[in-house]
Amino acid sequence: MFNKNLSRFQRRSLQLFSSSILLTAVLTFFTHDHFGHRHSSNLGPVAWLLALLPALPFLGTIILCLRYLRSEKDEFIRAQVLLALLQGSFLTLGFTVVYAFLQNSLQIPDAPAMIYVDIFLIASMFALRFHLRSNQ
Amino acid sequence: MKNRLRVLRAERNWSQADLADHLEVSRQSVNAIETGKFDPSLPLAFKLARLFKSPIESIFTDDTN
Repeated sequence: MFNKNLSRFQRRSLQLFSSSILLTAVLTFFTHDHFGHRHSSNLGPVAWLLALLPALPFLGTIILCLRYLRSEKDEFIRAQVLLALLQGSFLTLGFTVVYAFLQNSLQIPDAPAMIYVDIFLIASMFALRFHLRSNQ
Repeated sequence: MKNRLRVLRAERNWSQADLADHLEVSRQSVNAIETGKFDPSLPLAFKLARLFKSPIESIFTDDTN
């Protein structure tokens, strides 16, 4: 699944990133779905727990990312990861601007807040894969 | 920045993977440096100079002039 030229540390880190991204996405959709079917006043303290749930793997991803960048000895790969994170940020900002415009002009419903996290993580992951493949 | 990495590597019959092993970096890094897509940091440039027993300026040349 992952690039065979990567070191064990890089492969392990990529696996951890992928897992936490997937967990963030699943929990986001699960909690959004849960909130969507119930009235928020009926949830009480469960609402706080549900709100925190998708944030936990995302915080984990940030910690993983910082730990990885600190420990990565290969400066080229580190540069590619930083570039991918930057591109993920740009894509998320682009989506935010377009969606806000559509929301105002077409009166479409609000997007769940955590969707921006998912877009950022998934876009960064695809950008990293693209960069690594283009330097095979 | 131009470099003679490919030539120096060929003189020793090393593959990109061999050089990557010597430098403790990924093969992609060696490829990116060789093709000029990525300029190495000073520590990595010194490591290359030590490995090839050549001064840095004989491996890398500034092509802006």
